[in-house]
Amino acid sequence: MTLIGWAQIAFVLTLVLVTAVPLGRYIAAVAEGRVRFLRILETGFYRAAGVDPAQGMGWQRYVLAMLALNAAGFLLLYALLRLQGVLPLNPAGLPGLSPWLAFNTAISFITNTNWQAYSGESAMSHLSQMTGLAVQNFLSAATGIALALALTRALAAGGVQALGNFWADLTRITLYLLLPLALLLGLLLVAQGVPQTLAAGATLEGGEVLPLGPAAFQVAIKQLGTNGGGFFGVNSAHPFENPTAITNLLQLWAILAIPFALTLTFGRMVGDMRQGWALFAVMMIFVVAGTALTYAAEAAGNPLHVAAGLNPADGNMEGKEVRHGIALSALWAVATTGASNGSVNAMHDSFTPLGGLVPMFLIQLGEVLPGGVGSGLYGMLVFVLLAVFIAGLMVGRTPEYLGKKIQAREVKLAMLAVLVVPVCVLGFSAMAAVLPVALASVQDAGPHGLSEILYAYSSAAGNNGSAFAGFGADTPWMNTTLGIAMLLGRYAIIVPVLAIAGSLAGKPRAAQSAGSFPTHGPLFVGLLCGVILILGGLQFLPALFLGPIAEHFALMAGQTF
Amino acid sequence: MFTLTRAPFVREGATMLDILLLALGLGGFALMGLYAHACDRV
Repeated sequence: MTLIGWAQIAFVLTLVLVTAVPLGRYIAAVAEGRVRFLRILETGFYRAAGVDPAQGMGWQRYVLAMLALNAAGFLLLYALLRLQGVLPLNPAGLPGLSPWLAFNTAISFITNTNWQAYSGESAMSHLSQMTGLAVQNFLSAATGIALALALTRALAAGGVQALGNFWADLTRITLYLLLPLALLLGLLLVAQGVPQTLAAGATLEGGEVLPLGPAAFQVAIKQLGTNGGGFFGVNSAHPFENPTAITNLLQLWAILAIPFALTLTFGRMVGDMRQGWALFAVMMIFVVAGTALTYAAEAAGNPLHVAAGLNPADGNMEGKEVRHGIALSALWAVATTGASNGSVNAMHDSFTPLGGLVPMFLIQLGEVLPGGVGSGLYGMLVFVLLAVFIAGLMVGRTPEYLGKKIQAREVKLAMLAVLVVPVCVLGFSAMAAVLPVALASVQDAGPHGLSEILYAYSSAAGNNGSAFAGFGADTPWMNTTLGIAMLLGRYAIIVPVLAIAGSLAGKPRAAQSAGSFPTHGPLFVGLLCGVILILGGLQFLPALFLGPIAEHFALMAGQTF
Repeated sequence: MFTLTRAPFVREGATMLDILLLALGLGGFALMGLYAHACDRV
């Protein structure tokens, strides 16, 4: 590790911290309907759809509206991907996707996962990229933020039934937050050399065609919306997708900006900024600790490289881009897995076993550190309820959060939400570890092969989308099971979370008293960190011992897989 | 210009698979709707 490496990491995280304050305030204004500079467009959408934005929805109506939108998105995206070969804006003449791959990709993009069992430049027409994948990047991100706002309103209000209007939330977040930010970031990326063209590609002197396309604005929303799906196959390691140190900085900021800002939006909307800062602190502690561990493991390098005569001071540069270096590759790996983004600027499969363990564990901890846009906040609030419940058990008081009593119903629903990811990850991984149809996709032996399986299902169920390479994902078995894992990992969490919101919204908000457990101080921050770590550790540590930890000790003994 | 006879689902004869996969995806959403109903009774 070097001082300049740490200075780069500190610079990015400071930028996230500084921008989170105004961005959090702005998102709160958008959520409360106080931002209206595109009101003609906004009201036009409502009129066309027959929506009354002032009409509140109870939690069931809110969740059904969200499911209806996502189901329609799945159907349309599936049809588009299957038919792209006969649709316009396909200068490379690419055929439609196979049914299995279309199923997987459609679910992947509506769930904000962006798992890609294809390479964009050789599989997707411009029409599919622009009107299919990019549209879902906006809508899935706006869906996540809308759900987080609904839960926040439930905690902020007392004795109400309505959580807001899903259609109004979706429209406002898209129009006033995601579109302007994506436009700005897209223009900055174009200025740095990221292509934005409808041409199929550039022909080189030898006659080879270098694929191009409308990449810059797709990259902008993939980062801002924590979607992560690359325009090109190798994602942000590609020199067109992430060509310079400035694009690397901009994209790193874009991954983390909204998830962190939403904690401060939360604090503002519940009327106590300290609550928002407490969540911010928990997320930042994990990001800094995860980065330190990954950076240390990658900087220490691979002992077999050293034995082969490489300079130990170079660390482990396998799978990394020289223009990004180890420090910012480590920060990116942590940011992209902590934030449920899934884009990569280095190949996680080539990280050292311990360097690869950290990103995988961050996904397995529930994608709340800081998590995807919206999904990170509502996932973190589920852990908060569990932490408050545990604290209540320890001191013998009825647990409450922000003046709302947390009772058996909320805790049962929270556990339903928390258990989805481990059930999907461990269940599907166990099947994949023994079934020949699944093992055919795993290209490496031993613990590294198990890591590839674990990472794939963690990434799918956590709606992350990044992958260990060395894994043949485009098979009927993988496309189907990963698709089901993505579907469950998104909606089987959202449903109980919204049920919690419905339950909490109806409860009165009592004033804090001397007997209330403070949920904004260092004690609670420590407790919440412990709850997240212990839950994640209990669920996944045995599997991690069989995968990356076993591989680490094997590597120390000189064995690779 | 293009015609539907060039569409992949016709060329590959995968219509039944398309229907099965769409039913799996949309069935998942229907199941989530039922799950919401069940969560209301927790």
